[in-house]
Amino acid sequence: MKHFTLIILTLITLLGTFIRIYQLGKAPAGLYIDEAGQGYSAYSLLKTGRDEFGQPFPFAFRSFTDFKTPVYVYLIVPLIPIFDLTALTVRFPSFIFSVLTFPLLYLLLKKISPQKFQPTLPLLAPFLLAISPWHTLFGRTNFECNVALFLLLLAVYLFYLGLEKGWILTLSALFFALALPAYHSQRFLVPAVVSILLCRFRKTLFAPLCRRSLLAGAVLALLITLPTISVAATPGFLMRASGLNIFSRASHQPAWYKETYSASLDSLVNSSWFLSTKEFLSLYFSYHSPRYMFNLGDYGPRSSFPSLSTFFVWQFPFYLLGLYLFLKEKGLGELKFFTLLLLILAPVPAALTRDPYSTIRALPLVIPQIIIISFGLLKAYAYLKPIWKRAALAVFALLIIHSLLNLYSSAIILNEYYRAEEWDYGWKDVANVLKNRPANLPVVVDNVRDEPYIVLLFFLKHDPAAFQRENFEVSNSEYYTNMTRQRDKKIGSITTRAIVWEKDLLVDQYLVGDQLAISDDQIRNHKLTPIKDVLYPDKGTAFRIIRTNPSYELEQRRLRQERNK
Amino acid sequence: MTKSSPTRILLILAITLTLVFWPLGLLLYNRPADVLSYALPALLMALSFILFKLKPRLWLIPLLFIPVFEPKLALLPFFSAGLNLFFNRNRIGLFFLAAALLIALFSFRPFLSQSVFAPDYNARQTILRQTYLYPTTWMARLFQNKPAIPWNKAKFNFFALSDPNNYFFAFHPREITVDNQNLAKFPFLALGFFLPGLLFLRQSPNLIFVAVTGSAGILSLSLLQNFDRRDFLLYPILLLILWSGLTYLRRKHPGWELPAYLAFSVFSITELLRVLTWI
Repeated sequence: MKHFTLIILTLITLLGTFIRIYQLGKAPAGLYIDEAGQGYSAYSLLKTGRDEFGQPFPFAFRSFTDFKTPVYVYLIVPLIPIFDLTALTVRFPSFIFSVLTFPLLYLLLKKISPQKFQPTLPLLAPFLLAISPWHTLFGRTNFECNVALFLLLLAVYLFYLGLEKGWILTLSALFFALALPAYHSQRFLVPAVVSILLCRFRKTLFAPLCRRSLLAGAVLALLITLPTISVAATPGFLMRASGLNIFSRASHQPAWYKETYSASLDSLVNSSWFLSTKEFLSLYFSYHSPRYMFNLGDYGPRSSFPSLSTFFVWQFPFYLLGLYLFLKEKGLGELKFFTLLLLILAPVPAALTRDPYSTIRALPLVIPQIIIISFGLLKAYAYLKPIWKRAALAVFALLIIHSLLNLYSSAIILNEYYRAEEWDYGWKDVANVLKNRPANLPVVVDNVRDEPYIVLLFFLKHDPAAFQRENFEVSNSEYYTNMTRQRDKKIGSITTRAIVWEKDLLVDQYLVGDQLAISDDQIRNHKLTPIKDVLYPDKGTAFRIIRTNPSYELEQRRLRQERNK
Repeated sequence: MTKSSPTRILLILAITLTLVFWPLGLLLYNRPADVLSYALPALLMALSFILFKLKPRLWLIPLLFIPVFEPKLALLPFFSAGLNLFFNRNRIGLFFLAAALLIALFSFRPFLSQSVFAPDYNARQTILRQTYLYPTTWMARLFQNKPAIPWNKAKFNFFALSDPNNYFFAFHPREITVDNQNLAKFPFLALGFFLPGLLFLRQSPNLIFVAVTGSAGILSLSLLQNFDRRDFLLYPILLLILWSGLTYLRRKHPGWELPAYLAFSVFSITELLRVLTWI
């Protein structure tokens, strides 16, 4: 039985690995600026011991003054000498931690599930996770939330082990401490989970068996967390939270705010306490809404696959059945506690931000929801008469095959066609053209609607030391406090800034921009030389690279001046 | 145990506030003639419930008249009779099913033109375009086919109708919902009564009525191109679930009544003011 379980678990892991490794680095075909940003920061750390702004080993990465969490970037660093600086490299940590989550979830459920659900529930849940669109997407792309989820689950698993073998608690504390800075939402989730676990198991934890390990773990966790604590009060560290939270009034009014209403009841009608409470609850319940889970999915183009939501629609009745029975059934012990804990807590940090159903910020929610769906499936199967059980298994197998094909259809075929622009497709081709241009020919890359400097740095593998010298943004002492941004950047003879036609047409150089920046009329009127049009998979123009014609432009201006005299 | 006066007053206030929201929203933001067309199916549903309590064998009769006033809901009596037969197998149930089928057949044409089965040129063009993206014909046919058009529309409607956010938060302001008034249907804190009502519905004496008419209502509304305001049909059913939840809380957690009603009233009055001032 043990060998059989191991074989099934291995097959599940292999299936999940295949789903995530298939065209890893190639699909999505582009490289989003956040991915390029983390990759280049890691590259810069490797080469110079500093990030691209010259900060030595930051605790949060400045990037576009969004201060990315550090764990993922440091995970990329050792991979660069092995895989070079490529899209595969920056997505690899997410892939590997995504795959490792399957055996980890099995071990965790094996530990906390009652005997009557062994080994089916611990096997079924990782299987459904392996084919889950939600978890698959974040296992194929560079998202810190995936690594954070793994670290959190590992910490919880080690905690349960540590209740029996005290010394393991120290390891548990280590991974809780690593999970904390791994992603923004963990700043709420980790302390909340730790507090509740400490409260629930306080008698065991403060008993002689565990007391010393608990203390050692606390000290170790504090030491690891010190760097994070040291910058916790800075504007940089709080940037993401302050920009997105529903209570912030700096950049937007609360949801349902009536701007046109200004009568005597305004303080009541537009009151913050009412609007904030309503908005939080609305956002919170959207994470438990079957509409989002099984139909709409995440509206973000990079956090969803076209025509596919976070779970498959056939899982809906099992989710309802599983949820109802899960809440009613007694004797589920730690399985019920852990599942409900994550089910209730996981959406909270996401619900504090403005966007309804952000799957990135609520990724830990996939675990309890998968457990509940698995529970519902097992219960439904148990209710069937023996004569129907084989037919049910056959139907289940067909549903799985259909789901896998659906995943391929959405994640590979439709995603590549429809979402190429959202994944910043095309910059690799632009970089290849720029690499082969005449030596030292200047280039101006339009940056009005994008941040092209970072993807160009990535694909050109520009020397980080040179970039640090050529571009000053803030001093090291103000790294976390000064939010000034210099959008214009220099990458050797390449400059990313807005194209100034009046001036730029008089210099022999390449101009790079999208179709809005460089139109057909401008090419025609100024006799510009098209070098290359980079196309999206749907044949729309992604970027245009043209060469200016200064002699023609000068001549035209001279003629215009003469006519005006 | 007798309730104190403040608790009783707040309970009556809470019930009143819960009752007025949706009808008030419909009245304020629609023409009276239209309101009548939305309200009549709900009134017939309420009448059906009264018969369910007084004359259980005849409770399906009012539902048979719904397609007369609203042809779009032609399939509602059929679904109700079918589901009822599933729970209560008897001859009367068969008779109602046959009658409902006849009514559905008579109202089928007007229903069809307003349903998810109505031809959609743009959707078909999208299907054709996407077919060429696939490497094999069978895979293209599996995921890009014409039956998927009404299926996806019905699925979208079904999940919108079964989403608590629809009834308690008017979806969400930053969510784009096309062709929907996004009316506030119930005060959002009524969700605190609704969820226990759903969870403990099995203990409710109205279980069969809620299960049959709720499911039939959601199914028939899902088949419409636009269910907005027609979903007022579900108003009596949702009230029953809310009442079930309220009763459960009063029975099991009497100590929480006063603070719960107070908080509910404060928030709901504010919300009602917002509804009234948004004209």
